[in-house]
Formats: sequence, structure tokens, C-alpha cells
Amino acid sequence: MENNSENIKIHPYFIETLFGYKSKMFRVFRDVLGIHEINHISITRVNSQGQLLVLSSTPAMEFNLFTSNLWRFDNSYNSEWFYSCLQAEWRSLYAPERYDELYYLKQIKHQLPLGQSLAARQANNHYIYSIASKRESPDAQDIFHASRDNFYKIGQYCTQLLLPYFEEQEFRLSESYQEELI
Amino acid sequence: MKHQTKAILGGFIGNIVEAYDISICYFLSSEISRVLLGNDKGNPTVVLGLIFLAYLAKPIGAFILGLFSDLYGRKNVLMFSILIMGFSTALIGLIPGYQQIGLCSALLLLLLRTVQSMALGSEFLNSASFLVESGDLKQRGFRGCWPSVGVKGGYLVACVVVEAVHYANQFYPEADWFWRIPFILAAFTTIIGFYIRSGMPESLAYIVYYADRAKPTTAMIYRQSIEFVKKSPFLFNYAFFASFLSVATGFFFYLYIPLHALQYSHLSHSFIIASTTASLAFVTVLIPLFGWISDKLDRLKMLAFATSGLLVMAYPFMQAVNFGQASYFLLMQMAISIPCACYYSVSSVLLTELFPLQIRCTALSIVFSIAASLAAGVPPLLADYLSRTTQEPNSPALIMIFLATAVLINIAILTKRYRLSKNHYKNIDLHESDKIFTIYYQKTGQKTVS
Repeated sequence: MENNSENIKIHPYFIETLFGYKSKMFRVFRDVLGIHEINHISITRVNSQGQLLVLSSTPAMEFNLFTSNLWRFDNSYNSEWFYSCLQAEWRSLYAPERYDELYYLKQIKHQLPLGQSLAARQANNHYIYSIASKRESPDAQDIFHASRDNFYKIGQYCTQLLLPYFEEQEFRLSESYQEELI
Repeated sequence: MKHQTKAILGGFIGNIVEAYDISICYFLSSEISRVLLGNDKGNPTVVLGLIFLAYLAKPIGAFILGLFSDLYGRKNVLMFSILIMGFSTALIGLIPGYQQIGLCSALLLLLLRTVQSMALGSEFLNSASFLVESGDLKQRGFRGCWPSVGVKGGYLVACVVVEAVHYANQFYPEADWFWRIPFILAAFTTIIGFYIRSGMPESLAYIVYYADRAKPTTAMIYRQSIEFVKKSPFLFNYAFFASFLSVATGFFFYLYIPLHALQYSHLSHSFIIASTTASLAFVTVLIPLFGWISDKLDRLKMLAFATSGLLVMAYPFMQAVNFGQASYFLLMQMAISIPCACYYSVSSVLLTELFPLQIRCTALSIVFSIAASLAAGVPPLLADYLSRTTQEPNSPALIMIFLATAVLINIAILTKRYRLSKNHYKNIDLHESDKIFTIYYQKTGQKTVS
């Protein structure tokens, strides 16, 4: 069943944000890619209006996910799930009717067999940290299970450094609203 | 490549480059003297003087790069330092000769050596901190010993490359540019090292610590360092003696002893060099083994064992070097490698465990580089002085006995004041910066604020 709720939508500057800060994002994500076998990390910020902005080390994946509307069937972006501030493996969050497509896009096409979503709240915003590995060995699985606290710290570290870019897009949006009002 | 392997390789390669860069300057000092200083006899004294002069810049570099490491992260500084270190070495190989530019060649040598010394000032302890911090607590001993393996490996590589150059020179004596090749080769190892380091992540402990805090300012690190000195001055004393003995044993047993043996032993030059190279290879192999063992045992006890070994074996070792037959000489060189390897594998890990993360690189790099600068020069000079003035060739053993005793006293005090349990030490609480980015999440039924 299609998740969510009308209250969660894509931010108007979603694409610009996803691809707009390539070198800056690279510098931040470069610090954490490799730790605990992490090969992919993305940070989704959901603002108080329920608008989603994503910064990712593999932006092509999020681009495909959001432009094909598949994200609506990925419970990582379901407000009921991320408001709970929990963690789950990627595959446990796919809606059954589009499971295969999501599994193919995220875990086969981008070769990330091991993935986790971790939700958190900070003030009025929610964050979804998506962390994945190209490895699927029992060792890597153990590391992924045992390192959730570190994954939160890694997500937090990146978010702190990337906060100005999220804020910049929010500011642009509020300015454009004001212009419309005028 | 696995995260741990990548981190180990990154820490290891930088120290190979560091030790290689220093060693070839020493090993090729005669050739440098002939070509860059116009000394026809190739007397290395002036070149060695210039090298030592430039070495004094090491603590300045250690202070700057150690501070940057605490400010901007270990990885960024490690990437930067390997580039500066390697390219300044490669450029030494390209300095025009004395016949072309006169004394400017000596000035360029001094300048490039100064840059090189500054860049390598913080290399060893930055990479040791990086490795100790990059992963779980269970394997920090094994990870943290690799900078020491890199240092000994760098000496070995330098020995082999320089010997190859000397060998080639026998067939082409007119080619007075062969000495430049080992320097230019440094550029290739540097590029490989930079590539490896650029692909490795930041230290996990650094990321975890600064996940919710703003990165520190220079003033904050100064304040915290002063606070740390006031709260635990003994740890600086311990760090100084532990670092001094670590570097002194390396220079004494593997660089000074072959020269001493050539003067006092009846054994042949080729045997002494072969035996020393074999013991260097042996110690290089033993360090990771002791590093692995140190994750299972108490590192402080291992350090006490290694230091006691150096204390007990110093005199018999000198006896073998001066008066022993070939087999006894070789046996003692191999035997002394055991406490040396044990010491190298645990001393840097212990140092990083004792100093708090916020000021670790700044404080440790300064203490270590001052101790290292002194330890590289004073014990060999003093050993030479003692041998000549006392007419007793075993007398240099006294230096090692004195240093080992000083470290053992420090270990006893450290155990009494700071050791809580196996591989756990009292934390020195420093004033910490405020948390500026706190998140909330739930984990297995419990709410967490991070």
C-alpha cells in the first residue's frame, strides 16, 4: 500500500539540493565513507512543513527513487515510521506491492545489499540517515547491527557540517514565498 | 578493501615515507656533500650538520601540524603532511650541483630539509592517534603498532635502495647522479601514500566526539592543553621519557651500533651490515605480533617487560658487539630486537590512550618531537664520547641502562596513579565545548539523547 500521507512532500528545491553541492558534499562524506564498511550515506531532512530534502553520497539513487515516485512505497519516508525515531533494515521498510522494484533500485542496481535507515529528531526537524554497504558478509552484517549508535553519530557529524546547505534552501524557499505574497 | 586494512595501510605508508626520507639523507650524505657542497673527498660532516640543523625545525612542525590535526581532523593533516614530506625529499634530488649554482645548492638543501623536518614532525603520533581511534577498542593495540612497523620498514627500504645505488655505482663510477634516484623515488611512494590516505575515512573517535560539538578553536585547544598540564604534569614527564627511549633504541641499536662495531669489533664490515639488516627485518616482523598480543594482555605490563629486557640486556649486548664471535653478535642483535619490538608496539598506543582526544595530537606531537629530536642525536654522540674517553667500549650500555631505569620508574608511578584496570586509565576531565547539535532517537525501547 502506498505509504504516507499527503503531509509529506518533496521540497521544491529537492533536485538542486541533491546535485547542487557536489564538491562540498564529497568533502564531508569522504570523512565517513569506509568507516564500519559504509559505502553509501544519505541524509534526509524533513522540515516542520513535511518537506523532504536529501543530501547523498550516491545522489543518482535518490534521484531515481524520488522521480519514479517509488519513495512513496519506502517506509523510510513514512511519517509514522520516522516520527518514531527508530532504526530498521532497508528491506523491512519496503511496501510489499513495490518490494521488488525498491529492492532492485537500492540494493541491486546500486550494489548495496546491506542497508539501514535510522530516524532521529532535532528541534522541529526530522532526519533520516540512510547508511549502506556493498558488503553482505556475516562480518559486515554484525558490524551493521552492532554499530547503530556510531551510525547515528556519523549521521549527526555529517548533518552538522551540511546544515548550512539545508538552511540555505529553506531560506530560499521562504524568500520565494515572501515574493509571491508581495 | 576493509576499513581497518585501509586505515592501517594509510598510517603505515606515511611512516615508511618518513623513515625512508630521513634515512636516505643520512646514508647518502657523502654523495650529497661531494655534489652539492663541492667537497671532493665527500666528507659528510657539513651535510650531517645541515641535516641536524634542519631537524631542529621538527618540533615547530609538530606543534603546527599537531594543532591542525586537533582542529581539522587527523586525516586532512595526514594527507597534507605526506605530500610535503615526499615532495621536499624528491626536490632534494633535483637540486643543481655546487658547480652550477655554488653555495645556493647548500642553502636549497637546508631549506628543503627544514620543510621536510617540519612536515614529518607530527607524522608518527598523528598516524598512531588516527589508527588507535579508527575502530573498536578490542584491536587498538594491533592497529596502533603499524606506524612503528612503517618506521622500521622505511629504514629497511632505504637500506636496500641505497645499497642498490652503491652497487650500481661500482659499475658506472662516472655516473655521479645515481644518488639522486632514491630521492626522486620518494615522489612515487608519496603519490601512492597520498592516494591511499585520500581514500581512508576520518578517525571514528574524532567523528563521534565532534558529532554534536562544534570543531574547536585554537584558543580552546591552548586552554585545554594548559588545563591538562596543570592537572597532570606527570603524564608529560612520562610521555617524554617513553618517547625518548623509543627513538633512542631505534637510533642506538640500528644506526649507531653498526658504526660502533666497525670501530671496535673484529668482525667484517659486510657481516655487521648483514646482521644489522637481519635484526631490523626481525624487529619489523615482531612489532605487529606484539601489537596483536597487546590486545589480549596488559599493555603497561608489556611495556614494563620490554623496558626491563632492555635494562638487563644492554650490557651483554654491548659485550657481544665488541668482543663476541659472529654467532654471538648475531644472536644478541636478534635477542635485543625482542624487547625493542615489544616496546615499539605498545608505547605509542599507551601514549594515545593517556592523552584526551581533544588535545591528543597537539600535546603529544610537541612532547614526542622534542624527545625524538634529542634522542636521535644525543645518545649516539654520548655513546661515542663515552667509548673514547673511558676506553671501555661497553660503556654505551650505561646510556640504555639509565634510560630504561628512568622509564621503569615512570611506569611504576603511572601504574600507581593512573591505571584503573587492564588497559584502562583514569580520564583527565577537561573543560569541554558545548553541545550544539543534539538529536533524539529511540533504541530497543529506550529513548536516547545524543
